[in-house]
Amino acid sequence: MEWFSDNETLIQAALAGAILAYSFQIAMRAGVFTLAGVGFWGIGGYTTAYLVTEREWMTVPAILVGILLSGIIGLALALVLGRLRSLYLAMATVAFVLLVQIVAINWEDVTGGAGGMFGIPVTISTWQLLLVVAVVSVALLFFERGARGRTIEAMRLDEQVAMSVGINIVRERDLIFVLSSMLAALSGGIAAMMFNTLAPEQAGFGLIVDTLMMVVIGGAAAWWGALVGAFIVTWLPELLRFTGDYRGIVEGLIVVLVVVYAPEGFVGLVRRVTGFISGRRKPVGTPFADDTATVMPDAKHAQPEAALPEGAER
Amino acid sequence: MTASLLTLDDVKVHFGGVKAVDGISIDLEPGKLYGIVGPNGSGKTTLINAVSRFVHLSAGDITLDGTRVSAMKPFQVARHGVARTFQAIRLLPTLTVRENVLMAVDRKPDAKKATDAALERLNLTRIADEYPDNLPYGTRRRIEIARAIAPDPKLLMLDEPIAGMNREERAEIAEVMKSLRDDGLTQLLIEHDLRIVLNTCDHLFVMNFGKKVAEGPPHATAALPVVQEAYLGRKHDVDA
Repeated sequence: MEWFSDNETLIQAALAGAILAYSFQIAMRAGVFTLAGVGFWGIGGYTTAYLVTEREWMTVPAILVGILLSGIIGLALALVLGRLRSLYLAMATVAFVLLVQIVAINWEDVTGGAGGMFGIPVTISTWQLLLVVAVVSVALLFFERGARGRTIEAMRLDEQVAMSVGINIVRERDLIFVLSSMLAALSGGIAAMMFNTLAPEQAGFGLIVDTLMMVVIGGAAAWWGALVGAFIVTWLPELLRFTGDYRGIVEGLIVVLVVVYAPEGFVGLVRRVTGFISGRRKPVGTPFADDTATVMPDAKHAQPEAALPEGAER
Repeated sequence: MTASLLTLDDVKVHFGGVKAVDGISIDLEPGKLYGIVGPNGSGKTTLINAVSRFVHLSAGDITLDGTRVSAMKPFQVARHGVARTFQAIRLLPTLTVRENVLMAVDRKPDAKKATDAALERLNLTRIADEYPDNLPYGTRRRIEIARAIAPDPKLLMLDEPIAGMNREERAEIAEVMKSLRDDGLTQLLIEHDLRIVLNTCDHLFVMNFGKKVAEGPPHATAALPVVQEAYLGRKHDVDA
């Protein structure tokens, strides 16, 4: 218990981060390279904090409103950006994150402006957060199994094959985009109600990098990769404290080594070991659609695309 | 005269100045096995891509079973009963053989039964839990066909399904095509191996430069001078 109380803040940060990592991971597993999750994290956080502190709402309905609002904005964004692919989509969604930041800085009456919001009451305990993460994890476990899981794999690996078996990839992408937005808003709402403060710079590029690190280091091939990644990335600065001023360099080096030598992340390493033991290795694949060729040698058709493939008009 | 299952009416697919398909009109009757032959670049794959709606029609109309599919999206065409395989093997490596087939019938209530039947038909039941990348080339081709037939389509389009296979595997696939035809499934086969086409198909279309240059009973059509020219070139081309 002493270890728990000593590390409670890190555990909270890792668990809240895991939900945001889930939101990135679920989109990327479906081949939707969106980074908008950080913007929705901000929307969820500010909505919850505002409703609780200024309107005296209870925490749960406030978080639900943030999730609903993000779902609606997420759907609108999905309809607008639906034709974009890979880096083009990533760039457009980074622009959305910057837009949310600008609104947060300038809408002082609601967001507290550049200084942010302080003194937000802490109304969520670590155990409650753990319960939420457990519920989300189980939901994702069921989501990635069965028909939906196969649809997601088909969308990431080969959209034309997906269409050829009757999968409406445009509708599925919109659905994934909305789900990802709502998960990010949940994470933002929880973070606002756990860490007392919320400022515009929190919902920025740094959070995008941290969350991507969680997904890449943890691995995107299974839901638990994001959870493991969230704990690794959250703990890494602590573990590397001995490196002093060189900590940033060492952290960067670790990420580069993982990307080069273990692009399938922790999930891939575990599956390699279990595959070696059982003699039957399950292919993993990386989270990015453009890497199809690395897992699908026969797919001569696989190529980076800026927009929807032929035939997938909206 | 039997009502057509698939009708292509003056279908054109132009990519800028390239006339990949240039005014093709064909009718497919239900329950027959049709072959399309022609030299590389003659527009065969583009034609079935047009039916799948993977490419936009520059002109013309496509009707399947009385419904206009040329205005549909690819997933709608598939749901309307058009299944296909691809020239290059396109299986999902992270799914097992069974899951690769199951994904084609996930929306159907009897998905498991349909999957088991398709696996059985292509002799894949024993390896249903393997991953495709661990399997031989010919087997992966059979998985693609199993995936295509699992939804019980009205039309099956096969794009060079026996390319790269050995003689035994070719004969096996030819038997599968014949038995599917005997069960009433209409098939459109693109294939370079004329022997297989002549021995399996009921009707042959010959394409060259995006146009249909001949059609009819396979052996008689293959013997036509225009077909020989399409494959071997004209005499004066050689003399020159």
